[in-house]
Amino acid sequence: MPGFDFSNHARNAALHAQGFPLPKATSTGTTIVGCIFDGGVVIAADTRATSGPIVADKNCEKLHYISPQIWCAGAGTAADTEFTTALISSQLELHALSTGRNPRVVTCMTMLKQHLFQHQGHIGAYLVVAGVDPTGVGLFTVHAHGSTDKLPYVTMGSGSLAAMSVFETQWKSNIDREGAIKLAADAIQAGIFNDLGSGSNVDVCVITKEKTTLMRNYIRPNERERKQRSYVFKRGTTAVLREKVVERVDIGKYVTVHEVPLEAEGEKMEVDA
Amino acid sequence: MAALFGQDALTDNGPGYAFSQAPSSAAGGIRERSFYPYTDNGGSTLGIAGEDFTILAGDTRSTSGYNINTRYAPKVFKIGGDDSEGTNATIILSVVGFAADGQILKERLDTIVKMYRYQHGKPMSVKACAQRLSTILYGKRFFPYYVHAILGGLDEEGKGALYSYDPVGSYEREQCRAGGAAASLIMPFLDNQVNFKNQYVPESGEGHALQERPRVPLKRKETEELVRDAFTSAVERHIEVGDGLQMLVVTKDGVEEIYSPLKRD
Amino acid sequence: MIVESTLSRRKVVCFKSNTLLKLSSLVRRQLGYIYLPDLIVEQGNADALPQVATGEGVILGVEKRVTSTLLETSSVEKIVEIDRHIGCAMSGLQADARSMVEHARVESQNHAFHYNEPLRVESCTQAICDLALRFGEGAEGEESIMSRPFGVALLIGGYDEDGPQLYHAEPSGTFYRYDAKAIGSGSEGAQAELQNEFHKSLSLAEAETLVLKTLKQVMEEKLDAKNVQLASVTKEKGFRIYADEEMAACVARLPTN
Repeated sequence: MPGFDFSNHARNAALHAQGFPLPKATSTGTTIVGCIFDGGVVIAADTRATSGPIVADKNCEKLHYISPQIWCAGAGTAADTEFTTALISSQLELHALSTGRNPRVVTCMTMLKQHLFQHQGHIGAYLVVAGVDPTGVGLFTVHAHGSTDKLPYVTMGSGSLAAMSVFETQWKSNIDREGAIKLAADAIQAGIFNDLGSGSNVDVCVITKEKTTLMRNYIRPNERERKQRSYVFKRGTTAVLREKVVERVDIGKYVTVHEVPLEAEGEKMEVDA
Repeated sequence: MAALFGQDALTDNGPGYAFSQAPSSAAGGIRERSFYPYTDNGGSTLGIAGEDFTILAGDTRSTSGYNINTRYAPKVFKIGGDDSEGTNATIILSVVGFAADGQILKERLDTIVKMYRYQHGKPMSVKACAQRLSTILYGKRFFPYYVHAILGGLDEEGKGALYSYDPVGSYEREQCRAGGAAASLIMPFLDNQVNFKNQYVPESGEGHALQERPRVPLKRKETEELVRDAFTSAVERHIEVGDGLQMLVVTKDGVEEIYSPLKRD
Repeated sequence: MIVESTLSRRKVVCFKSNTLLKLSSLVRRQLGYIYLPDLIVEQGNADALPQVATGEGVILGVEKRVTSTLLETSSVEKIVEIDRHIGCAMSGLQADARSMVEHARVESQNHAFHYNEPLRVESCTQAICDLALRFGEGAEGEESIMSRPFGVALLIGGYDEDGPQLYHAEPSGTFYRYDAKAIGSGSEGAQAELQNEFHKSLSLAEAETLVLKTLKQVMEEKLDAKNVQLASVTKEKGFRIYADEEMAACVARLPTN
C-alpha cells in the first residue's frame, strides 16, 4: 500500500491528550531565497538545522535536486522537505521518461502543491522551486498548505523577513548572473546573522539554459576559532569496569562484515585533535 | 491596556509577554483570562571559583524568539561599588533568564549593599550578600524573579567564593556553575574540567578500585581559557548564545572586566 | 530654650530641664513642637549601673534595689539579653526599656535572617536609638505609635568582629561608646571611681571586681550577692547573666573594708 501509515494515530492522540509531548522533529528553521536574472535563476540557502534551540546540524544541505535543471530549496520540517522533493523528483523523472521531454518547472510546482494540499498542511514543507525548462526560467514558492506564488525574487523560512529586506532594498530588474548570486548570498547572510533559526554557511545553486552549478558552502562566514586549550586525556583516564573481547570470527555469526575503504575527505565528522 | 500589550492577543502563540492565550470559557459563562508577564531572553552564564579569584562570565546576546534584541546586553554586574560604574566593588552578580527581572534584581541588590555600608560602617561580605540575595528572591516566592543568579566574590580568607541560586532563593556555595540557555551544554564540561569528574588516575587500580583524579586549584589564565572554550562551544550548538563574551574577574586587587567577541550567527 | 533646629519637617526644640515631659501630649501637639528631655537618666528612681568593657569582654552590673522584704528579687529584671552576643542594662522606666529591647531583638534576628551574620553592636544601638523620635504623629499625619518620648537610658554591651564594646543610649536618641560608664542615681560618684580605676589591660575577673567595687561605693544598702546582679558578654560564651553561685564568688572576692 502506498502512502502514509496512520495505524498509530489513535494511540498517539490519546497519549497527547494525557500530556505526553509530541516528538520533536528536526526543523530547518531556515533562510532560503531565489532570484531570477537574465538567462537563469539562482537559489540559495543557509546550512543550519535546529531542534528547538539546539543546532542539530551545522552544515546541512537544504538545496535539493529535482531534475538536472530544476532545484528546490526547502524550509520547515527537514524530513518533509527531503522526502517530498525526493518523491516529486522521482515522479518527474518517470514523467519525463514517458513523455520524452525535459520536465518543466510549472509541472514540478503543480505536483508539489497537489501533494501538499492533499495532506492539508500536515507535511511541513515550505519550498522554493527554481529551474530552466524549454518555456524559459521558472521561480516559485510552495507553502505547506498548497498555495504557490510566482515572483522574480522570493524568500522563505524563519529568516525570510531578514532576507526579503535585502531584496527589497537592492533588487533591480535586468540583474546579471553575478549580481543575482551576490544578492542571493547577501540575503542569506542577512538571515544567518539576524535570524536565530539560520546560521553557518551559504549554499548557492545557479541554473541557466546551458548548465546547473551547485556551489556548496559558497561563503563560509562562521568558521570556528581554535580552542584555547587541548582536551586530550591520558590513556587510561576513563575507568574500564568490564572488558570483553569479541573476535571477528564470532561477529560473523550474527552479521556480515565487509571491508570498507576509509571515508572520503570533506565528509569526515568533526573531532578534536 | 491595548497599547501596553500591542499584539494580537488571540492569535499570538509566540513568545508571549501578555495575554498570550485565548480566553477559554468555563461552565456558567465565566471567562478565564491568563496573564503571563515573563519572557525568556536566552543567553548563558557561568562562574568558576579559583584559589584566590572568582570569574563570572556571560554572553551579551539578548533574544526573543528567533530575533536578536541586541548584541550587547551585559548579564554580569558589579555590586555595591562607589558609583554607577561599580568602582571599588568586590562582589559580582550574573543574572540570566528574563532580562527585565534580572535588571531589577541587580538594582535591588546593589542598593541594599550600598545601604548596608552606610548603616553598618563596613563593606558587606559575600557570605552576607549571598544570604541577602536568597531572602530577596524568596520574598517573591509567588511571583518570582525569573532568573538564574550566580554571585561571586572572595570569602573572609581571600578564597574564591561562588554562590548559585534558583529563581526562588534556594542557594549553595559551589566551585563552578553554568546557568541559562546553554547550562546543560556547559555544566558537564565544567564538571569534567574543573572538578575532574569521570577522570581517573591511569593504572591506579582495576575497575572500581581506580583512584579519582585529584582536584587541583585552577590557575587564573587556564580558567579564563576554559571559560572561552565553554562559550565558543556553546555558540556552536545553541542558537540563543553568541555575539560577545563578557567576563568579570574578582581578585584581591578588585574587579577586572574582559570583553571578547563571539560568533554572530 | 537652648537649641532650636529643624529636623526634616519637624521643629525640634531641646530643653535643659525635663519639666516639659510632664505636659500632656495634647498640649505639646497644639504647640507644634516636640520636646526632647535632655537627660532623663538623672530623673527619678534610676540605679547605679556601672559597666566596663575590657579586652576579653564586657561586664554589666546593676543594683537591684529591694524596696520590700516581700519583693521577689528574681522578678527585678534590669539586665536583659538582646541576642547571644548583645546584652543591655537599663536605668529609668523599665516598661519603656522592654519595648526598646523587643525592637532590638527583632532587629537583631532580622539581620541574622537576612545576612547570615550577627548584628554589630553599634548597629544594634543605632536601631534602638532610631525609635527615640518615633513619638507623636508623623510628618505626613500618620497615626501616632507613642505619645511621649522614652524615659529610660540603656547601657548596651556586646561582642562582635571589632571586639567587646559598650554603648550608652540616651532617651534623646543620641548614643556614645565608652570604655566604662555608669548611669543612674549614683552615677557621678560611680563614674569618678571608674575614671580612676579603669585601664585598657583589665582582665575579665578584674572588671567584675571593679564593677562591684564601684556599685558598693554608691549603694545605700550593704552590697551582697542578692542585691546586685552581674552579666558578661564574651567571645566564647556570648551574653550570660551570672548565676547565684557565681555572684557569691564574685562578691566574696571583693576586698573587705
